[in-house]
Amino acid sequence: MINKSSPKPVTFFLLLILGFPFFTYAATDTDADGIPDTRDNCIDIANSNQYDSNNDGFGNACDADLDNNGLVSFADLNLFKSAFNTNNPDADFDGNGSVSFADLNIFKQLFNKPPGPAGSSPGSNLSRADASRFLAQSTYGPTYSDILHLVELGNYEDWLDEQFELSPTYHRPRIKTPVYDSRGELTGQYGRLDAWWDIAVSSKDQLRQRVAFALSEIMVISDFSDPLETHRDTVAEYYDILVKNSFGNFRDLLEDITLSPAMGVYLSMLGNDKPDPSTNRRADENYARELLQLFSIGLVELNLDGSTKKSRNKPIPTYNQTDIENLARIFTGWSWNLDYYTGGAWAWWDNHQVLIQPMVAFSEHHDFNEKTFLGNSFPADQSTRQDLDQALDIIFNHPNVGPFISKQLIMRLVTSNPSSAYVKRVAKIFNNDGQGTRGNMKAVVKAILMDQEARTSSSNHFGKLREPLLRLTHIWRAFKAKGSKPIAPWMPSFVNYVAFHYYWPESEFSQAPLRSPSVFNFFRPDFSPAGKIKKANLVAPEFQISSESRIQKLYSALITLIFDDGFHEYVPAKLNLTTETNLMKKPGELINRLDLILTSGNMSDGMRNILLNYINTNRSEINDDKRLVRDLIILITTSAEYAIQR
Amino acid sequence: MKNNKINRRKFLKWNLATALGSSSLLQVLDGISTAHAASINDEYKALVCVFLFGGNDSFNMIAPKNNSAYNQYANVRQGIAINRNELLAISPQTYDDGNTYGFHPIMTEIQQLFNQNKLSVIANVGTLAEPLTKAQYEAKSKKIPPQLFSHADQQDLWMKANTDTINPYGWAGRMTDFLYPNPSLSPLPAVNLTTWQANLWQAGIKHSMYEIPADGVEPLYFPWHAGDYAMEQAYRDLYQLGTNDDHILLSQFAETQQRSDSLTEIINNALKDAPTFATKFPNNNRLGKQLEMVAKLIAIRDNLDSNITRQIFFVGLEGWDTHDNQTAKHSQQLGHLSKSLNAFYAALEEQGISNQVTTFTASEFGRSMTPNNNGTDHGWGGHNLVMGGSVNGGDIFGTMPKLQQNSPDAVEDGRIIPTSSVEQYAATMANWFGLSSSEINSVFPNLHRFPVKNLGFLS
Repeated sequence: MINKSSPKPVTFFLLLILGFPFFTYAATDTDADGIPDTRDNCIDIANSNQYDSNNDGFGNACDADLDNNGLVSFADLNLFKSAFNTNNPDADFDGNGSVSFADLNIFKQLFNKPPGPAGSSPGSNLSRADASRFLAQSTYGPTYSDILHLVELGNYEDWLDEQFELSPTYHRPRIKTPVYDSRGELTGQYGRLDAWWDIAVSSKDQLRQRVAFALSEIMVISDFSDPLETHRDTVAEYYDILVKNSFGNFRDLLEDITLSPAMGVYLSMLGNDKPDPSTNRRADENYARELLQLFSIGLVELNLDGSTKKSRNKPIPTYNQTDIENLARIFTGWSWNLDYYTGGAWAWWDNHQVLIQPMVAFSEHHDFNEKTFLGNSFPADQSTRQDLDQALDIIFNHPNVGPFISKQLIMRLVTSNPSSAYVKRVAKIFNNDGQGTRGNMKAVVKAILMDQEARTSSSNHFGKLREPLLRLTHIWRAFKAKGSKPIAPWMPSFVNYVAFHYYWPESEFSQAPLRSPSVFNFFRPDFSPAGKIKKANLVAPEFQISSESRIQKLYSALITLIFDDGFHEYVPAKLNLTTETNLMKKPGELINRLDLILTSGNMSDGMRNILLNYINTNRSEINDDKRLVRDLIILITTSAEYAIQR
Repeated sequence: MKNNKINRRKFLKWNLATALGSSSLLQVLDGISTAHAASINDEYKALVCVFLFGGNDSFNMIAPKNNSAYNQYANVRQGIAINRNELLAISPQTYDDGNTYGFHPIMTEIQQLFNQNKLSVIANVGTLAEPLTKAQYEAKSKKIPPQLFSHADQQDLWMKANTDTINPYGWAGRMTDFLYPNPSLSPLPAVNLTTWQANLWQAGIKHSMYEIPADGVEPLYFPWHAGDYAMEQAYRDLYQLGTNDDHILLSQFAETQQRSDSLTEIINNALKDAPTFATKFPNNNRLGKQLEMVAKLIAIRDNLDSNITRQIFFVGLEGWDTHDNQTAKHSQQLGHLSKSLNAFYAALEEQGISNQVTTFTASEFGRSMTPNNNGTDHGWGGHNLVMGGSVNGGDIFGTMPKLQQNSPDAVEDGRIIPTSSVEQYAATMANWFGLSSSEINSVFPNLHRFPVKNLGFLS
């Protein structure tokens, strides 16, 4: 649908009005050779023939890097001299069949520069760099084959449709550990973490999983809390609710998390009893408050573009304490799916079926008095279920949900500081997917990823600091990591199967799936680190877990994980670096490849030169190309240019 | 393979040597040695904030013990009330509102510190825009702080000590801006240190904070097989390159890397001289470990910078949001707090510095007097503890609220209106810290709305 043919003007205009973003940027063609930049193998120099004799993706017209070391230097000049007056195709820059003075003139212009720049391979509407950028936002990290696949598809929409069609990979069924160990103790979270890493690194339904992870940082529960710590099935089932509803409807998502026993325990809606004046007991406000504040509408009224509505120059609160007290009463009367009531969190922890089933209503513990919530009357004597349904409908239809949830999803996937126009475009789709449906998550995800800002922005604050966990999933995906049987003596015997066996990433990464220190996630959406980011009135949530000392911890861990040849005894994954090691013969191409996979083609010339210089200076001493490849991966993934996903 | 194992000593030597050679670090050191504000003298002082994340139910941390007040308290709190005869009795030096009070039964160390005049209770502190009565709240005739009862927002207001500004800086950071007004390069990492996380409280315009996890900072290490530390050099070249990048997030990240590289070694080398305390800190909770690190950092402060005479520390403990199962959870939390504060005080006494360090608690709100099923919900005002040799100890400051049904001090079904504002609480400490009254008025622009500028708990 994109760029394949020009839309008719009327359609074009109509789509613009409707807020569809993807026709608003025209294909640019810098050198006016008729080949749009996105698929021009030589963007700055006209070469309508797209001649590329060595098939390295750089057209001959801008590829004088004859020794393929990434820079056109005197060594290349010597090679050119020896090819002069021959028909050596690589030195035939103008593609006229012989190496002549015309080619020497081209050489002069290319001297002291890297080859390129180039767009994608001919025939596709997407450059490889475009594809990599898209996959960084929509998966657990681009891989070379995924990039090629997307380029081959030629447009993002087909890729999204492919992903939408894939059946979901659920986490709880993937848990391999037994419930109890040999001493009869619960085995805890080992199996859940193994399943999470495995799915993040290898599952095909990457987009769904990536969105589920984003949701897990908005609708937070944590196994870093006493009752959930030992019950991995309850926690994993919650994650599967997110996986399931990532491509569903937001109303269903709200209902499923509300009735999840994991959430019920975490924010104490499970066992929330009706008020009892004789003992001065009120309904528990915990879930009522956080559902509104964090999971759906937020604290203040928002415009469609995510900005704060003002009345007499003051923000307008979305609810008051009376609303909270009423919603708390609406949410009374839910507990474990048993035929008798228990308000206690873990009275039935031996019954593992009950631990994963949605909570059920117990009318004798429900408050049947009349209630008022956000201006809506709840008549007396509605059933427990009717009260809940009515409340969730009101919340779901609150005008804040679109901008509030859309903005946070944009921040988790694409950029920390989306423009208000971007938020508005996505929020509109949340409100109406074009078919009259509100809360269609597929449409929302699509709107986020297809937006012109996500696709083309190059502003000096576009993008986000990569989350620590997503750095590791990226590295493991990009270099085809394989787990192994248990590798450390301290690991329990019940994890005696092939997996990554990486159980406590939070100590080094400040993060682990569903393991934040509080319902406020690992970082707050409004966190702004002191310094130029704060001075520019920008936010950068991930900086909250990236202080000076946390960077050291994270990088020491990453270096250990990459540099795994016996330096450390127990490394959870083996990387497959065969392709990269073979490419060491052509360092420039190797760096291009790493740039493509890791930095989505954003690597600066300065950085490229530092890496090339590192190779040139140390290659003979190191005398081990595989190790040199590891060094390069370490240097790139610990660089600031990699740290910011752009 | 063996050859490739890191030679740690050699590495450390390299890192420090190169770090000290870098111009950026010299600038940092230069910044540290910048003259401080005229108002502070050369005697060392430190402030330690112990933030209790989640909202401490301080009405069960200290509760009325005499019959009439206790019965009203028990009547309103019902199942979560502490047994009267278990409350640890205290006799305040001067405070007398006709009632007696006692600490939660697990806080034996706190009771002892109170009795030894090393600790006091500051009653019913909270976020206020101006003095406020129940009638004024209900008539909305006075300013009310925004987003009452929200964790994140009330944490921010506590850290800003200012309820009606969007100014994104904290009062510790703003104090530091006055104490050290001319840093040649921000931040001064030796002043604001946090063992918890980056936080709003310590963010100033000129100054930021440095995070030192309770278990210390591991130096960054590379496989150094490439001779002459080529990888380290390339790593440093890359972040140097990043600091000049036009991209705002990218360059700030690179700057953080640069500071990280320089400062880790300074901190670690300084910490090598840290004493082993005779005092044993509790190691079953995150607070004890953090306070142990703070005690060490205070001990080696001259290694960090002997010109610094003021330091500000932030430590934190989560787990106070006791909506359910409060009796067990809250007791455990208060036990951690009591034992950790006690160990910290003892470690300061070992150093002979307990008069120069003031430790205070903060929490985003107290909790509702009224219970839910077996817990409490978000409240507003709450009691706090202040500990130190300069504290006018063994006393209660401020005004204890009436914990009873239909309390004249409560709104919204059992949430207590604060009687002392965060800025009064904070300004009292700023005054002790040496800020002039005009500086205090700048740091706390709403202080003028409150008749009492100094709550009097420090001398």
